[in-house]
Amino acid sequence: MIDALETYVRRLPIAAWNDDEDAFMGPLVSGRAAAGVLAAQDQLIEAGAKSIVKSERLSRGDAFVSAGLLDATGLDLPDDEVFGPLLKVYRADNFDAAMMLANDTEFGLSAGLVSDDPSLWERFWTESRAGIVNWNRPTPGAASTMPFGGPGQSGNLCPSAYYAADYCAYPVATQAADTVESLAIKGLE
Amino acid sequence: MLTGQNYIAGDWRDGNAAPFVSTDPANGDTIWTGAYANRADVDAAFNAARAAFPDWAKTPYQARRDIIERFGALVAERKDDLAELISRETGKLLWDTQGEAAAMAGKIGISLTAYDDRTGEKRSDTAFGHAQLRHKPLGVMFVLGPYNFPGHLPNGHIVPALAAGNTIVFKPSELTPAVGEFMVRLWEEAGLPEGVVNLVQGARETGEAALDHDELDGVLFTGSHTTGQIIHRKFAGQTGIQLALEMGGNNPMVVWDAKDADASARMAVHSAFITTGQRCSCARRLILPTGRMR
Repeated sequence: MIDALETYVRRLPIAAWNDDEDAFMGPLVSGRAAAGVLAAQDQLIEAGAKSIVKSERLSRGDAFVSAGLLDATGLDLPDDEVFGPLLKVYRADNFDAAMMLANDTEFGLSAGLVSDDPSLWERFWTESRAGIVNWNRPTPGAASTMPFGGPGQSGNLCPSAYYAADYCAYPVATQAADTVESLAIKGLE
Repeated sequence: MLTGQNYIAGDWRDGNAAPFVSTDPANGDTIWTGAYANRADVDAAFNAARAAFPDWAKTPYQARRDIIERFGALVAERKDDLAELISRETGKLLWDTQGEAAAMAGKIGISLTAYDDRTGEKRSDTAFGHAQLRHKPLGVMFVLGPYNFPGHLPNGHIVPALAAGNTIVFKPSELTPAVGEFMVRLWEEAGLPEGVVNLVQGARETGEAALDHDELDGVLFTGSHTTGQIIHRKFAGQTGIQLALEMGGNNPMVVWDAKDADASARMAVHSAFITTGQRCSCARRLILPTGRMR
């Protein structure tokens, strides 16, 4: 699988929105964002990650970078989100170790399992800690008909999307009677 | 026609702080020119939202719904213009921004269903009379939009907040002011009463002025972990301020015992690199068995 992945990452087409050819990636939002991704890649490599496919700035503009793939197996890297096209690969000796790695983050937005084995999916669903937990589906692509958010550092457990209704209004409980009832009070005539 | 102004109490007004521009990241073309809102502009926006709140909250739900549905119809009608503007301002590819514009239009019906489903009213008779559960809006909500989905994500706060009867001060990301202005112009066209949605353009200082404002009842934020943490700390102990913070992730994808290596690789590529990795739900860490699955 890693070979197929490496091939796809190298071939991933990049273009501007008004180019004629089909592409999967556009530029990042700014040259500054692109510089941030490349700096993060340098830091990962400095910390011991092995570059499989290096993310590089493209000649057509400073916001354009190619996709990057790194092997981070065995490394204890900062638990930071790099908001760009970098994917870190980790190897695990068994599924227990894979679950440990999956949950080895303070964040908890999305988590995905790709597997033919329903019993692994049952375990993954039970043991993963995220607000979006998918099986044989991409991690992004959230549905507006579902809540969006997750535990840990991914938010304050007020999920958005379908559950946004919850944080936009507060519930009010009312008890009402048309007339004032004279209440019985123990010890008072 | 975008003018680069703020929208306060139903008026389009120039911002009173420094000028700034928004550019197309693919080629550097300037696509929007305006000015940051200063503290006085932010103050005017919050006061307008506060003044509009009682009437908007009292407006019958069906009348609020009608305006929201008109906005949805306008989004659907202008979806191609909106998608192109998002592409120009963020660099996102057209298939991606067409999806975003469609999600914005689709959001309307879903948000109204969600409002009925998640809130609603319940009433039961009791020996003394009746018991009733109803919901009230919070007041003035400050919506902070991100740049990666500059339409869909703020829309996902604004529509439910308006349905519930809140009024809004909206600050788009300083990287996507044009999309923010485009959206607010559609709200104006949909017939939203003045002051119900107010737009302030700007970056950190504009946001800080808003977070300091006394008329603030809630912060609806989608963006970076760093900024979300700052907001959470700032309001520590202030239980009266509603916070809805959607931050990032360092998301795992585990591939284990999947026969089709090619399909698995495509799943990982899609998850990690869609929107050039600028989705908070993108896979960042791919976990594979040692040695196997070459």
